[in-house]
Amino acid sequence: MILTLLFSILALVILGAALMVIVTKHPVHSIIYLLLALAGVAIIFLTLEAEFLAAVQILVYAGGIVVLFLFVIMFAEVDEQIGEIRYRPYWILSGFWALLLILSMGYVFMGWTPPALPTAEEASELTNTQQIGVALYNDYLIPFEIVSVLLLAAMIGAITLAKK
Amino acid sequence: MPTSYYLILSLLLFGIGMAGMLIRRNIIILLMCIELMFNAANINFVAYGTQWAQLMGQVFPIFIITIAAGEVAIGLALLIALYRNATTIDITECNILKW
Repeated sequence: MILTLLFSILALVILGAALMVIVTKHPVHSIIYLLLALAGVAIIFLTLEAEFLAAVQILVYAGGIVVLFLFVIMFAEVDEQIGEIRYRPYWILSGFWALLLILSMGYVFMGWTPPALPTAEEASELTNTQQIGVALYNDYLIPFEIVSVLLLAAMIGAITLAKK
Repeated sequence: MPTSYYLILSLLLFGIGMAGMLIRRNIIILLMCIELMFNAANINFVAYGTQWAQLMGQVFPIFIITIAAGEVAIGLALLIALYRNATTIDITECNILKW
């Protein structure tokens, strides 16, 4: 009961912060609300016993991407861009379709429990970080190396696009 | 905590991100809504991974986070290049290719 209550509070914080991201006027306020939503998602990962992923989420998202957004906000000088017009012309129709998607899929997911896979339950002696490290370097080595090359390409691309 | 709670949270977060992407004009807010949708997918992955005790549910979000970071870097570099030429970050003003 208390766990459900705490989860509900966490979910409300995340969804409220996400709503404020898309509603608020100043982009810097949106970034701070996004930071709150990302920190909330990291706590969700902690409740799901994925502590390495929660740490990676804080490091990469809150520590890297939010800072990147703030730098670009400072560069683009959005203070002059803030007008009374925030939304696109057909925003009511677009919001209606998004709401329809949420309601229709939420109706499916309401009391649904996913089927249980017949997996062998072996208790591993390693911690979560060690398990992920073993998996990344043994089973998922090729995606790991490809992602590192992709990051190099992204870095070169970002530098080439942004320099004068 | 039953998995369907996490699925509904992921669905609502994705819906809010999608609605924000459809209705806002500022390109930086659009990139932030993309990040919200990525996080919704991550919650979905980890919820299923915990329920079925598979490590793929946590390894794949690591790749998703990595690729999202690279995509945000390139998206913001494109925004900087666009701002240099058009001096606006309103996406309804970027309609030169429109017929």
